[in-house]
Amino acid sequence: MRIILNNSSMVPIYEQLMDQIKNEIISGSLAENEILPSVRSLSAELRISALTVKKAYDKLEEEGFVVTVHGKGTYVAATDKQLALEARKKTVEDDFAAAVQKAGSIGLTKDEIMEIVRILLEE
Amino acid sequence: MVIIDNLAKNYGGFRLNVSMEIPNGTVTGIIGKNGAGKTTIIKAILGLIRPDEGHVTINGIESTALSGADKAGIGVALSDSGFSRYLDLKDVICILKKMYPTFDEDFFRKSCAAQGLALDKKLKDYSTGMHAKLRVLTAISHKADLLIMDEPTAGLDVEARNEILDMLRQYLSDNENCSILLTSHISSDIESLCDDIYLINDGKIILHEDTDTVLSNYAILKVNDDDYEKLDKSYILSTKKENFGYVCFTNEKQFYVDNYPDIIIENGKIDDLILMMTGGK
Amino acid sequence: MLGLLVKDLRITLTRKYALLIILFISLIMSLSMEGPFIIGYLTMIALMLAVSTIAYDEMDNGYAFMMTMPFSRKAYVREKYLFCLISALIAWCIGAIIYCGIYLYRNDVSAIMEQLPAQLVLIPVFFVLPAIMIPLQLKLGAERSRIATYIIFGLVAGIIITAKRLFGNADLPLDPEIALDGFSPVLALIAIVAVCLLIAFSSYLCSARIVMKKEF
Repeated sequence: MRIILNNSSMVPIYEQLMDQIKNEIISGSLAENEILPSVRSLSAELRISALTVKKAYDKLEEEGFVVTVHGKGTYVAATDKQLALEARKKTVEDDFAAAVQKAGSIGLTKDEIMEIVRILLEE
Repeated sequence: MVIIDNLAKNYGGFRLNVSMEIPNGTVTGIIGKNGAGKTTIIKAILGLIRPDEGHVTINGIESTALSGADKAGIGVALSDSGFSRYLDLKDVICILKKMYPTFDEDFFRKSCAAQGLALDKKLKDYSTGMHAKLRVLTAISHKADLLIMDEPTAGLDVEARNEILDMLRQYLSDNENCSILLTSHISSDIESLCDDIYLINDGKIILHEDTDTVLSNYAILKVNDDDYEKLDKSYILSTKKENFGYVCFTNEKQFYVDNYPDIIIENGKIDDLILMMTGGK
Repeated sequence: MLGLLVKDLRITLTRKYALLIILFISLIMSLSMEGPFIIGYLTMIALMLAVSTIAYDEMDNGYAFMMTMPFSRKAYVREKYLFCLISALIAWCIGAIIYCGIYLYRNDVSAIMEQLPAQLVLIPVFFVLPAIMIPLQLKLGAERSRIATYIIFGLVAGIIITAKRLFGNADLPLDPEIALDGFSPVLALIAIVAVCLLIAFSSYLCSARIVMKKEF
């Protein structure tokens, strides 16, 4: 697992952690049933509080990406491809939503936004 | 689990009055300026001083009644007290071997060598950094469930500080159920190690929060006079007047990020917590 | 308590040069003197060195950390008395060996047989010194207890001198020397040892109470 955290980002650390773990699961670098590092060892490695890692793991479990077995550890859940694709789509949708909001806040019209997207797709 | 129940202690003009709980398996930091009461709390927990009122218990046992066996499970590092300076490391090893039944001599020797602590050097010839490392190593070399450390990295350069923090991180990793209570006035140490923090000032706890929450929900807002007038102040904890306008401290970063996209918002750090909560309005 | 003994032993051994000098000087003194002086001398020095471990504990705010180590406060006090006793015994034996060595060399075995057994009483008698010093140092700390010691010894000396001057020439209803003559030496010995034990035990109770109350 290669996690890189940005301490200066507006995105909370646990969210960054979740996103990166999710990406690794979806991309396959983290295999099904593979065990994730223990809360303490990951927090030691990343130099963050153990509670933050636990929060990320708990939320990943809520979303179905991992399963925590009490006393043993946290494992990558067996996900079906459809679910993984859905999750991927959702993150893309979220990114679009953020970009649209920003475009709106600096005063771009709907047409101008669509123009930008069209140009990007043509590249 | 350490429970501090209405601990009160008076020293001349200074009065300490706190209540805290350190559950098993957590890393808790107490932060505050010098003289705020951190060391007094530590001493009360270790049974070195007697509370004027209230109780301190470790796993249900009163700290003033801790037996030798109880203390064997506690690893201690105090900022200004340690082994006699006339001893050398060989003496220390002999003493620790006989004091703590669970002392891991092999680990201690290897760690001392790795940190550059020579066996034959008298403690009085140690540098500040070497003393600090020895104190921490002493505390983590007998498989203690509870570590109590008073300013373990005080007065050290950033390299030595990191080495000590890494030692503690490794210990936490190797001993999943251990708890640590440490005091510090170096915020970055607390941020990267502690699960939750207590901010203490003038003998009172003025804030108790998860580190994660501080780093993700707390923020500094920098606004000019006009923007300050228009600002919704419901979630502002404190404010300081500056040349450019005002600096505000909030624990609802997302609210301001969402509603005021134009103002400058910085992630809250523990230093900000201290300055804004103990100095601002 | 074993850990505390190891600590005090190691602290004392760091003063090995001082120890060797003491041994050397006492050797020379005993060669130039008659009698088993060296035994009492070494025993007394050993007791003083043993008591001084309290000053070492106090140094550099050492008490705070030390009291977090796995022993009870009572054990700390007990160890001090035990360490004094062990030190006195070892020193007595060393002194006895040297004394025997010298007198055997002089082929004067009778002197040894006469004088050596009596020297045993020095251990309990001299133990009165740590019995006074230990609670004093625990209560007042090394610095202030030194001043207190001077005052106490000064007072005691003053009382003895004054008493001698007042009663030395007068006729006492009960002459102490004649009174004691009636007792067998064994009984007298037992009485002395009993008194010393009593003093030592009261001293221990005193010290224990002082340390239990202390804040570090």
